[in-house]
Amino acid sequence: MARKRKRSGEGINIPLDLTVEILHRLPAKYLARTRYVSKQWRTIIDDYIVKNSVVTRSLSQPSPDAPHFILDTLLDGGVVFSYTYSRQIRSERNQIVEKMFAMTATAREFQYVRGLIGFWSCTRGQFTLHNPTTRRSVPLPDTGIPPRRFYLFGYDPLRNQYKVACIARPTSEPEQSCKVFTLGDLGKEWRNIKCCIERHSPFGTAVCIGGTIYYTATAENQRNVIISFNVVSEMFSHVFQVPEKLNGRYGKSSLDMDVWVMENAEKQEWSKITHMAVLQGIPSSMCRFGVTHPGGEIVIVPYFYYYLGSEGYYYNPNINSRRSFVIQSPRLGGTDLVRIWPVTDPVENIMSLM
Amino acid sequence: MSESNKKISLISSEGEAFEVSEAVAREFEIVAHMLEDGCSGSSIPITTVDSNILGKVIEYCTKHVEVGNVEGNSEKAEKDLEEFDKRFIAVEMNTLFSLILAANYLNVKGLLNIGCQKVADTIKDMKPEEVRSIFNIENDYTPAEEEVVRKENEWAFQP
Repeated sequence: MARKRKRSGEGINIPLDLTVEILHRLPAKYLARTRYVSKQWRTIIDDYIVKNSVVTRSLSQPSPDAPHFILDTLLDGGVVFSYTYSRQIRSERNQIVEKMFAMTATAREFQYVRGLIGFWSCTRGQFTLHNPTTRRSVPLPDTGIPPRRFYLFGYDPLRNQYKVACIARPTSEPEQSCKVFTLGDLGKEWRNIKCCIERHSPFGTAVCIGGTIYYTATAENQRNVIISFNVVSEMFSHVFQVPEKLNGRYGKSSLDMDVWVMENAEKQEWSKITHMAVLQGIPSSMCRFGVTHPGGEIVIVPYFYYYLGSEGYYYNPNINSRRSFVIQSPRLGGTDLVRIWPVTDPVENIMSLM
Repeated sequence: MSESNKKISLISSEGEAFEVSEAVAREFEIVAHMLEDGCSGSSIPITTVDSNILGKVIEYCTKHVEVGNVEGNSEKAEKDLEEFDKRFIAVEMNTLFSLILAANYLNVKGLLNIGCQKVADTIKDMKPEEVRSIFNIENDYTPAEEEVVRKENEWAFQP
């Protein structure tokens, strides 16, 4: 039970728990400004509200359920990237927030990790980081690895460090070259690391869960594998063979969705759970997935550049239910071609990038 | 809850009695717990809240109980309630803080929520000096430290 303190002077002394309750409701930008009030408030903010740069939200607040997306819009002059979400404001209509963050000549790949967006072009170019909360971008130095490189972006929760790994395309060399960049490192340099697993060509979107990055790749025998990269130890490991049956299923149209679960990594045992008719009524062009963590809901949005795509779906495998949502953006519904990347588990990060 | 006409007296710190229906009193979670614990007395002392604030908190709870009892036409009722909340919370800072403290003590979650939100909305666009004076805070930064903090949070000071 909270205490009430005696009045002193003119104002009222608000107990710590209530100060935290109030500050929890400030948007990230204003929270950062409020650090300026006093050392005590800065400590309150850094100890109770901002955990390793990420703004925590109090549970009593309206849920930040609104889906977030990265949009990648094809225009005449190039590609525009923007970050979009709709903000629910109490007693007011939803407000669509869309912030453009980059414009380049070529399409990019994206990875969203803990409030930061990493993006790159696989044919050329550097890896760039963007923080949609502070609206700052910073390109990382060039890796020196020849083009057609693949980047992995991850977070080490033990040391509170972000790392980017860059893998070269496999060549005739016995070992693939690989370099790592640690964000905030004073040297600001890419370090060589050993890529001690079989040669492979990564593809698709990587995900970082609990300090490990998982990504799909094609191995030398042309089979698809799943590889993990431990952000803490910087070791590649666990080459999971994707089940044979799954290899043949790509591109096959079906209303069902199969979820493959790795039961035993050592024995390479997989089990399959089929969710019936999940994709019923969804256009066949819809097949970019994202999985929320730890909620486990599956986000389904249109794949490829899409004109009309304004609808997406959340599927909850635990209760086998699907709900649709509208992807709100002025860029959709017009004549521009838009690619949509679902952002799962969006957070506000107030870290200043270097 | 059935149509209970039972009345309960809430006694403010000045000793003034406010007679309310049990349903309204139960909006104060602290009172609800006392009633469940078998405290069957018809008057409950709220020693840390003065008459002015207690009266307001009762007004808030009465309105919310009333609206909660009306069936149908819920969208309009919800809008009305939002309007009521907005007007209710449009008070000067000291009263607002007193309401928050009372809502926290009495455990009236809805009121605590709108109160804290109102303070956050109010201080959002204030200068640090104004926030300091409202919260009775001294600036304990040295000019050099202040500069460091400003640099770190520079992005937040831009439009």
